[in-house]
Amino acid sequence: MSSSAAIDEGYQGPLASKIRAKLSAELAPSHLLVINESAGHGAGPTGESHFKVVVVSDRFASVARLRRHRMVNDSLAEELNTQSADHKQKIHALSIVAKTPEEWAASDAVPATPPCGGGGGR
Amino acid sequence: MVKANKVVVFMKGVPEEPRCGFSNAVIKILEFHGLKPDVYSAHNVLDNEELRQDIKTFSDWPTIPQVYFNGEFIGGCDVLIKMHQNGELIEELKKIGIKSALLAAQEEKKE
Repeated sequence: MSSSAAIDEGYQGPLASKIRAKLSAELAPSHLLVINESAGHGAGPTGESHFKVVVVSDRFASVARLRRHRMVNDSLAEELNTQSADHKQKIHALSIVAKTPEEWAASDAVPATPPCGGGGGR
Repeated sequence: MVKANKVVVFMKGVPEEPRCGFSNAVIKILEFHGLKPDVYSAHNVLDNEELRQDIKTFSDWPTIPQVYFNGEFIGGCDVLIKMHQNGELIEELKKIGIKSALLAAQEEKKE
C-alpha cells in the first residue's frame, strides 16, 4: 500500500491520454490516476501495456464492487478489446481501484499490483 | 464449463506455474483459503485462444483471470484480493459449501 500522494504515474503516452480522456468523460471522476506500470513488463520506457487506474467518482455511490469494475471496463472497452496490428493501442493488463469520494477520503491507499509472472508478453 | 466444479478458474498458465502475476495472485488467495488445485477446475487460456475470447464474451469481462463459484462470475484479481481482505471471500465460500481454511484457523484459535 502506498498513499496516492507519492504515486508516480509513469510514462504518459497516447494510450494513457486516451484512458484518461475516456474515464474523465464517462465517469466524471473527482480524482483520477492513470498509472502506467508497463516498464516492469519488458515493454521498455515508453511501453503502454500494463495500467492501473484509480477512479474516484460519486457515480460509484451505492454501486457494488463488481458493477463498479464493469463501469470502468465498459468505458475502456475499445482499448481493452481492439487488437491493433502493432498491439500498441491495446491494454494488456488493467488493475482497477474504484472508490466514492467518501471512501477515498477515508483511505487513499492504493494496493500494490502483483508482480508479473512473466507471461512472455501474452 | 463454468459449472463443472464449485470453483472454476480461467487463468494464464496452470496453478502449479502461473504465467501472469494476476493469475498467480488468484491461485495464492485460493490456497490461503485451503483450496488446492485438486479441488477446483483451472483452465489455461494460453492453450486455447478460442476459450480466451469466449470466456471474456461470456462474462462480459475483458480480462483474465476470472473466477466462478457455482457457475457465477465472482471477479478477477482485484476483486478477489479485495474480498480476501475484507472477509467476504470466507462468506462466499461458505455459500457454496466450502469452509475456508482461514475460518477454520480462526475457530481453532478461539477454542
